[in-house]
Amino acid sequence: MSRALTLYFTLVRQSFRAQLEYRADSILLALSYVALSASEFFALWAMFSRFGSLKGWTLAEVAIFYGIVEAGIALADAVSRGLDHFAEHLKSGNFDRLLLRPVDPLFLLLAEEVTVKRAGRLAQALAVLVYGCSALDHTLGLREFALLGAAVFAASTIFVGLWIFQASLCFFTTESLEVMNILTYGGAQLGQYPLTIFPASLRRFFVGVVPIGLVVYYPGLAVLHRDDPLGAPAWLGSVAPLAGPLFLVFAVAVFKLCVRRYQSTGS
Amino acid sequence: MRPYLATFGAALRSALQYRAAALAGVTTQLFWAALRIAVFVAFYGSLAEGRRAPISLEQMIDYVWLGQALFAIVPAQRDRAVEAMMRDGTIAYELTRPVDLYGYWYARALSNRFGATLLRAPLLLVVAFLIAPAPYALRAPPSTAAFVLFVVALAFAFLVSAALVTLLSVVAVYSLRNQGALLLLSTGAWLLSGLLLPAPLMPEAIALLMKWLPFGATMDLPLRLYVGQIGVSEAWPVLCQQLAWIAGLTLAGRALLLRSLARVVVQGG
Repeated sequence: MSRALTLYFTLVRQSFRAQLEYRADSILLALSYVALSASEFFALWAMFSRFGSLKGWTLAEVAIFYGIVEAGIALADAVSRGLDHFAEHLKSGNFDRLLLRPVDPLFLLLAEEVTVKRAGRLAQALAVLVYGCSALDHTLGLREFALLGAAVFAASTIFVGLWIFQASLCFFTTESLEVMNILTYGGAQLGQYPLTIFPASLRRFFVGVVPIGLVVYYPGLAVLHRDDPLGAPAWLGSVAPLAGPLFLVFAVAVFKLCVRRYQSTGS
Repeated sequence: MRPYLATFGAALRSALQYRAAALAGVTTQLFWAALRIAVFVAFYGSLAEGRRAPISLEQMIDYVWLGQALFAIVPAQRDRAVEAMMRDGTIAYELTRPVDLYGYWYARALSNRFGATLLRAPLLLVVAFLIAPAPYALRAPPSTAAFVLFVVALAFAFLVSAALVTLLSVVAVYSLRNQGALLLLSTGAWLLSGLLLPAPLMPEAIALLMKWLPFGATMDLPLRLYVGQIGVSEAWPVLCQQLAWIAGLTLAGRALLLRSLARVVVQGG
């Protein structure tokens, strides 16, 4: 385990160095992410200032959900760029080379690149979280901050898990399936809002099947000191973040199964 | 005119090759539209009694559908091929072509926008029009005149957008790396074109920017004509504004290209 960690950090440092060679590019790209996601939150603010509330939710409350899910996807995105290139690895035969190395291939993929660019999105998400926390009516204690941290972590594990699923599907399709964007980016979009505003079928799917809603909404409610308008028990908030790591473990198991049954074309 | 039409046709045919990817894109777009409509329905439902939004919920739903169907018009991407040409020197071949370089690039930019839209829009519009459940479905425009004006404004929108993308290519000739210009363009396109919110729902300062920068002309104006938020009688200033953008941006792009081409040095080898 410690060997794996040392190796991971060596590879990550290498990836940072490579990116800093293109410093201006990296900074500008990070800035453009800040600009894009900041304008998204700006639009949300504009809607609140015109309509007053969102079905009884205030901007500060929505900012908590928004911040959790955005920070989660920014973290996940930063560490799993390697998975993004998986289809090319598979097509070019590069993946066979990874299999020859004495380390787990999934580990190598995750260590391939950690992007600095996503720092912009993370910074914006944290800024929104800070705003949300400070604009709430009650002050937050240790429990609430722990819940926030757990929710962000859980959300990021779900996104990494989804990208691992997407990579696993490449074994069957060789092309990366863009429809999966509905689950990843669509899930991120949906998680930004309180679940109550969505139709029941959508809600159930993003709680029971792809649990982004589960790990963002219920811990978020506990942070906000609100009862679920739909009547979910209060303890769900503290338990829900566990679904994230479980989802990730499941995704890893599926990926491993696919690797075991993988047959290279050999050319 | 013939070489430009041929360029347009060739680039269009190549854009139309990516049908499977487009189908995936349409599915994603449908999901997006559904989410956005749910959010708008919730916001409009929270509006205090007796207050009215400057654009009705029905109009907003139509706006979301059309925006998802036509989002490829928005000039958020550059022509990577032109930038690659500048770096690897292929620009020399471009200069030997017996056509006007600006016109050639413009035709490519136009067909890229048009092809991407043609691939996605029809299927998405059919679903929005016929399959989506009644209160959330896309409605017909309020009058035939509104529809005709929308089509004209849409055609102009393509021309404005292509002029913006070509201008970015021209900037690439100047600076090789144009991340900065790209940053401005993508942020402007995202915030000011109507992809996030239509001008009437934006705060006043942003609405003003949408009015006085070309981004609004690429999507917001035609869509508001369709939904009837801009009435038929108010349509003429809109179309004139679009025409002014087309003229201004193409003239500026062409002038800038001529100036920078005079200074291009192709390193032999």
